[in-house]
Amino acid sequence: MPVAPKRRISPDTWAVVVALVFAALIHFHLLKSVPW
Amino acid sequence: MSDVNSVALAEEAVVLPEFGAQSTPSGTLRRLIELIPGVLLLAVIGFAGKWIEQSIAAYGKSHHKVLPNIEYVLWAILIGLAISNTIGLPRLFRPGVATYEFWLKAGIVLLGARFILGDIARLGGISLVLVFIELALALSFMTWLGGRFKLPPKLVSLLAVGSSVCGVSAIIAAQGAIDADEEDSSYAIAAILALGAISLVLFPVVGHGLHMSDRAYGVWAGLAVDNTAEATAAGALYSDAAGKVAVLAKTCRNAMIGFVVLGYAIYWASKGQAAGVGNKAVFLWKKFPKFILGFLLISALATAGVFAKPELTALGNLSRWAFLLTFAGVGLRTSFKDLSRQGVRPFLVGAIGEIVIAVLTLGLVFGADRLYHL
Repeated sequence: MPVAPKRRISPDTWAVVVALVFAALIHFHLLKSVPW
Repeated sequence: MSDVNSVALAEEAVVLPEFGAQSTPSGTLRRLIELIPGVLLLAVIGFAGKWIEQSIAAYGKSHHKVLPNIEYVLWAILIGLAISNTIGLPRLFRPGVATYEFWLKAGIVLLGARFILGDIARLGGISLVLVFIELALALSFMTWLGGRFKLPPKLVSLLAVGSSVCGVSAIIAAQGAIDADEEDSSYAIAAILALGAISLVLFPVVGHGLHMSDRAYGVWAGLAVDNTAEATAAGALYSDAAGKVAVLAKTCRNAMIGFVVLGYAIYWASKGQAAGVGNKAVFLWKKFPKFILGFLLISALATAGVFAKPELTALGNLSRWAFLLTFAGVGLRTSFKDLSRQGVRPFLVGAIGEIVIAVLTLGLVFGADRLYHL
């Protein structure tokens, strides 16, 4: 019996997720500062 | 897939980070490990670019000399170009280098923190009006020009989509939707990438020559440079503020990708040369670049005061680091030898089209600057 393929997560969505995770880390002071 | 490195990299960039249907945990882990060498290479080149900029500035300061300030953006691109056009990019690094587009999108989302929603509404609103005009002009002109040069009709469609909307992503989205040949899409991608590389040099020169303001220049770069990575770099080469505005204007253009590709898909399906489009709303949602929503979300959070000032600075700096990796990738994936193999006519159509679009959009931006004081 064929198995339904899992939904793919697009690179765009990954980029948003990763950016939001970093924003959360900064907001909750888990990442204190980002020098440039 | 084409044997052309640059095109292959550009295509890989879109498919690579998708952890797909049949991936097992060990397969996903293996793919993540494969990314490490290339990502490290991006980081090393980007950091080297930053180090060179700072070293030149420090040398000038300590020796009381006025040296031209060449931004890290250009150094990172030049180092990447030097590698890809001399020794070439070893296979080991390719998967990681192909993530440059991922870093670009993450950087754009984070950049949302540097905009308040009011700015986005105002500048984005003006940009959107200009984008509609640019789309109409670019699509009709490229279609006419491709016809004059007797290029295959689907190649003309791909070139028109690439030069009017958002470069490589738009071409790849359109290729699937209109059932175009891979060869045609490789031609179109190569033309857009080659012209993007040229615009990196020319745009800042023209901008400085015309004494354009940061905002006006940023809108122009966002409207006229096709690929998002090159548009971001062309903006950042002018100034930090221009880079921000270029990203915003380019994002407005990217938002149109679904509509333009849908239009072409319906056109080619009506000619019986492509599969029909089912649910149009689903089609539009699938083609819509989701990172734009992330950009708006972060901006909304910043506008609502969720982030304190040091946090906004940290988010802005993080966005710069993400762009740094992108700029290194732009240089690394551009191989002039490979691009030159793609044939003269598609490149010529692309080049003439780009010059005309750049001049038209420059006129539009000057007009908008007079009316709305960008």
